[in-house]
Amino acid sequence: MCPASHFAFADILTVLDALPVGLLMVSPQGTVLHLNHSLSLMTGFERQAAFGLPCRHILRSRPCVSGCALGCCAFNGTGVGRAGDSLAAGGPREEGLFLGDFMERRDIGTAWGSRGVESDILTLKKRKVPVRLTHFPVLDAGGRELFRLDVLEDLTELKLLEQRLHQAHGHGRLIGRSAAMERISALIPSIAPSGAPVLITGETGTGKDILAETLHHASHRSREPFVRLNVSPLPAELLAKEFFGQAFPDLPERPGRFQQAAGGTLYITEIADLPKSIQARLVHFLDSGAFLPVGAQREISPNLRLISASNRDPAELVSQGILSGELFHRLNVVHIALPSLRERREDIDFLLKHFLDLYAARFKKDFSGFSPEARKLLASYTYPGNVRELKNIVEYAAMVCPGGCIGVDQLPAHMGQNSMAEGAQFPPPVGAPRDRRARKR
Amino acid sequence: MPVKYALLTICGNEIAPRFDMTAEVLIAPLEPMADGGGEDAERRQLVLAHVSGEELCDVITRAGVNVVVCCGIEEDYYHYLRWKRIEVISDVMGPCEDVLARLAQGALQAGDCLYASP
Repeated sequence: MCPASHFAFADILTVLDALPVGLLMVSPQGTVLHLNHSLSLMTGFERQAAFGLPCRHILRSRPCVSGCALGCCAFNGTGVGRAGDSLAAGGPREEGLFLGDFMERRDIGTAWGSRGVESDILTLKKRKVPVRLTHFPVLDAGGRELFRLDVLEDLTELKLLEQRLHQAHGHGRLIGRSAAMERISALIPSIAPSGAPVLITGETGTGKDILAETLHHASHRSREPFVRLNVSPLPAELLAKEFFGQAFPDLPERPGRFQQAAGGTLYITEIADLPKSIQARLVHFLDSGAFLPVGAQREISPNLRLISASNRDPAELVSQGILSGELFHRLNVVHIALPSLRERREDIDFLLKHFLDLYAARFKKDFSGFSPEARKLLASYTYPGNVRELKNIVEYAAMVCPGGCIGVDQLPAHMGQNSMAEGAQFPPPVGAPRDRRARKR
Repeated sequence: MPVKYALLTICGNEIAPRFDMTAEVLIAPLEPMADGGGEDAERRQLVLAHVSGEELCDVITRAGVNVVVCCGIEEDYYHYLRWKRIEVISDVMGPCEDVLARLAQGALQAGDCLYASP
């Protein structure tokens, strides 16, 4: 005799209560027979209040609404209502867990069995909880379904962990499948944890800012500030105060960007715009790790990482005398050169699709893609503004196009001028009479 | 004429389990306002183009609904609708007609279950 048959049903419920996962016992008619303590805590439903209710109102999971894979008969209109169903109800099933021997069910024909499905549930406190939902039908010796057991594992912690790992290793906003971008992506996990200065170069729109943020988020400084510093055309003295703060004896102390970035990362967006006096102070900071705020008597040593960027070739800047050689050599510990979109044209198709999906979701439109003519134009365009420009082009097209296939007419007019040399279509400005332009040509 | 309207998130002939997964809504007039309007008001049943909480909020605000009756609702949508001065009666379970009748009596409350007791 199977040992399981010695247990009373109440004992089994006690065991279920002690388990750390949520368990819902559901009748073949889809009404709740029992929910264990963990599920009660997860959903906010008291056991007595939930008894006899349709399971979909207790779980409130996505599959409950989008189409219960188990064929919730009550929901299909054959048995609406609360009911105290008999355990013996329900038709015979061929496979399942048997109460007598707890034989493992191998396959119930849906992803709900064994592996489960990832979904989310809505609790009584109006909170969405990510869960893995696994379903087991329990059969009697005659093969009749006694009840179903839905197992819910709370994935909140795992999702948070996944998010943290994604931040650490994922370069969610740094997009590209070309070999050049793959090489850069592969470098990030090894560069990010170090505190070494990073110099990022690349044309405008190649993603220097995004790479700087990605390096910060992937580092152990990710919970500390990321301070971005645009070098504005201010006099050097004012800029020094903006950078290093001021601490005059008779005036209130004013922290600069270096103090604001303490513990985190300071990102200087265009190193070539720095005045020579600031460059000299930066050299001192990179040498000693300390700087003197304007008007102060004592140096301070904030623990920060310096990331700088330029859209020009730094070696050329040094040769022109714009960038101090000493600063360049100190910043150039890790140098990442981002390729222009022209140098990774194989990414264009992928980027077009990525941004089209993004804007389709944002504007709540359905796009089937680009027409062959539009695709030809997009492929031949030179993208002087790189990825930023491509993104703007797709955003414009997604705004202008009501849905379906995006045609040449729905692309920005200026695109034709930069792709004419390659023999592409030359669309007129949006709103301009097309025929007139065609006649001129 | 000012008529008080209720919107029920429905699935079949009962309240849908989740607000953000609702594909169909029932807009029904409640009692006429004090000036006696609303006699010509009729029920409307809308099938949404997309299942989306945001879109449903948009439909609710544009339809001039006064009361929303639903089952599970995420707090973001709940607070948004409340902020728009729309009453939200959540966690309601049961057949639409029973819910509407209870609502018309002014007796419907959050968490009400109108299924027959076992």
